Amino acid sequence: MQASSYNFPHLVNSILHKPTSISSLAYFRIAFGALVLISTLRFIILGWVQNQYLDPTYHFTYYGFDWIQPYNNALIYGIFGILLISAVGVLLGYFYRISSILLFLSFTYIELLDKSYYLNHYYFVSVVAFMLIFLPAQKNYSLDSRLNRVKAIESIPNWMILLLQLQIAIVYIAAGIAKINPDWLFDALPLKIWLPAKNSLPIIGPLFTFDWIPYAFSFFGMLFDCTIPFFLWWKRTRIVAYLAVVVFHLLTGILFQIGVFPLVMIALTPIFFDQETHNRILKPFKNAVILKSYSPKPILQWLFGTHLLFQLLLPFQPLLYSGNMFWTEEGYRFGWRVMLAEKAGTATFFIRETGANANTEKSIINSEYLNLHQEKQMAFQPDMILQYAHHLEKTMIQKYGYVNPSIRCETYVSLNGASSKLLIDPSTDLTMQKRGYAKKTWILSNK
Amino acid sequence: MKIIYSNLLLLILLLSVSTSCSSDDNASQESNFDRQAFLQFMLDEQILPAVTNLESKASSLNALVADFSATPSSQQLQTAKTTWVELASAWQYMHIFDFGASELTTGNLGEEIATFPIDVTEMLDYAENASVLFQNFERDTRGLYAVEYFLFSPSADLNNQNQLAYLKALTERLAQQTSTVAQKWNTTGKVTFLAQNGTDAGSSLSNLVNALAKSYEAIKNFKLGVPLGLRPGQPTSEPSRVEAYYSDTSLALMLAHFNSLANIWKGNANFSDRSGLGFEEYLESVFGGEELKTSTSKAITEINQKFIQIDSRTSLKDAINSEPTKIIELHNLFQQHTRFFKSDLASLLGVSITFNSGDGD
Repeated sequence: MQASSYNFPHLVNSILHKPTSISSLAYFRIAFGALVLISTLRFIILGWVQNQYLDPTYHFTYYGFDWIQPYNNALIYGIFGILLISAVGVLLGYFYRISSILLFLSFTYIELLDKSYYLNHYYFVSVVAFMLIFLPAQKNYSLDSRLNRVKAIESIPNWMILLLQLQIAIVYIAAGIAKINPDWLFDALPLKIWLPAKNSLPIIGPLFTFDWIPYAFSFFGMLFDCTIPFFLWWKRTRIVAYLAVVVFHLLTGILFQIGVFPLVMIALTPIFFDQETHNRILKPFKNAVILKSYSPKPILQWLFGTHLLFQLLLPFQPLLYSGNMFWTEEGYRFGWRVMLAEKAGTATFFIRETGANANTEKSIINSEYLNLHQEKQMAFQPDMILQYAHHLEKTMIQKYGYVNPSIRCETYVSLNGASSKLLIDPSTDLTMQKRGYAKKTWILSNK
Repeated sequence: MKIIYSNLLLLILLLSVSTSCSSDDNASQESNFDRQAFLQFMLDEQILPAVTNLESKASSLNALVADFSATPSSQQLQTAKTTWVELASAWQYMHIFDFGASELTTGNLGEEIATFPIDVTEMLDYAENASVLFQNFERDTRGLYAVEYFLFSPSADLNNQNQLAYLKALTERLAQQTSTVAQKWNTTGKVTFLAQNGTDAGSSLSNLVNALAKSYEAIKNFKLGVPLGLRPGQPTSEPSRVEAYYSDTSLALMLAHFNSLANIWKGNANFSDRSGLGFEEYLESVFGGEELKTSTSKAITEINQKFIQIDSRTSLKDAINSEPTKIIELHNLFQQHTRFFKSDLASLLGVSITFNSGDGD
């Protein structure tokens, strides 16, 4: 029996279940609540609720989630209200369980409304919100424990912190691996397009006129993403690594229009710090420990095990499809592929009545049905082109009395500065094509 | 850990060697395009001359109409008609610059003065009721093409004092609105235009790239597509929806409109033979730009040739009825080439066209 304490499973077990201070988890809860609160307020103040969700007459729903609609203005503002309140709840650890559930549901509802606004960091927020529902993040340093709504504890099993660290590591490493492609590494694309456009920035602007800069940024970016979690884990490099995180994200924040993403990573990567640091930061908020020992329900390990497995597999979705994923976008989302390609298109839709009442072909003015951002996103993403075609079909039948229209789309797409080419077969009748995860045979090759 | 470090270093070295090799075969570009000079040329040689010209024509027309209403004569009317055509042509050169200082409190200058087709019944109703305050959003009862109706339409009745008064109010409003916009461009407008010299959403470049696509598509969709009846829900063509229906100058105005866009593209001054920095020069300095420059240059030539083939003195409304083939061909040419002026340009210049956050890293 003695010998078994040195065997591998035992070692893993002891690492996973070694008690660690709850202060790390509490830090994460507070930072996350504050982030969601700030970014939601920013979103509301910028008037984006109105212009992204209420003004458009059509939304690009996710396959299987078509029932998620704005329905009416009161509902959307109500959901934003719930999101704000629940973010405060999570931040303070007040009515935490219900707050964390509401935060996850309201945020995710809003994200599922329209995929033209899909951002990896919004997806990340949903993922973290989901994880926080099941973690005992309110069991100290919180109003719930101060008010004795829950019994304050001292420590939690180490796997809970490891889990959050792993989740962040997956984001970075997947983003890094995605950068290992010839365009990014050998042609410095799309940075070769993006960086020179920033030459009017003060101080760093002139740098971007040098030809070698995009190459350097591309390589550094790839190396940073692939390795940073390890340098954060390793105690001797941790401080430098965190400084690098701050500088790196601030720099990308200045260079690109990426909203709150830099803030998200800067605020959440301190989960890699050791428990003493979190203890020190949160000391004034500590509540007297009432429950000496805490052991979570075993089912949680199964839940998070499955979660991690999914997280590890999702970035590999494009392997299920043939073709260049940057071109076809099949399996592209939910894989932490961030700022990897410069892509734009112009899509023109044509409609014609078929059968006995066949008439001449008419062309659609997209701005009558979509806002500028929706049109821009749709023009180069086949699943959205198909959705929009189906929406047009329905609209044309209702509004103009078409009976059996056929709709085709000519969309010219430019990827990473190459001259634009047809993305999909312009003769395909899109009304006959089904949505779903099956390979879209009407996407043309970009060769 | 030492081993990892040295491996990492080796990797970086290997990669940088391979980069420097591969970067050789990409012709080195001069990526320091002077965006400030580009904006300055556009301001000095395109925007300011265009807005000054617009203001001056509107003011002349207003004076002529005022004279005419005091002492009507057919000669006065003839001069007013000629000035109207000049004014409508002057507007074409401002069409794209309908942002920034062109925004009035009641809407953009284009919406305010250049909405077509007009609603004659509604407008005559207002005239009969001597309602000349324009306190509504029925923009199809005022502006350039409302004036055109009174000057050119055989069914307009300038002996009717109410109609004459309405016409007078229309030209006064035109003169006043164009003067406000000209003044704004000449003061705060130009300062802001030059200061916003980046590539973010809201920068002058981003406004321009958006406006170029919008203005180009306005020719395709509203000056050609809708009159041709190419929009769903139109059972037949609707020649009554052409721009400048009553003066029958649609094609000449459309050509002027297209010329103004081509000038911006090529960096040519609007009303002189000077040339400077345009989108072509900008494209020469960015990755992938040469190819787009060549394709657009070809596209502009093709469209111009089609205009020549049709002859800009042709009546567009008649041609749509009698021989629409050439007009449809013109429309289709615009359609085919849209991508160059819309997505391809924005993409190569790395300009953000909306305020939404991008996918960050």
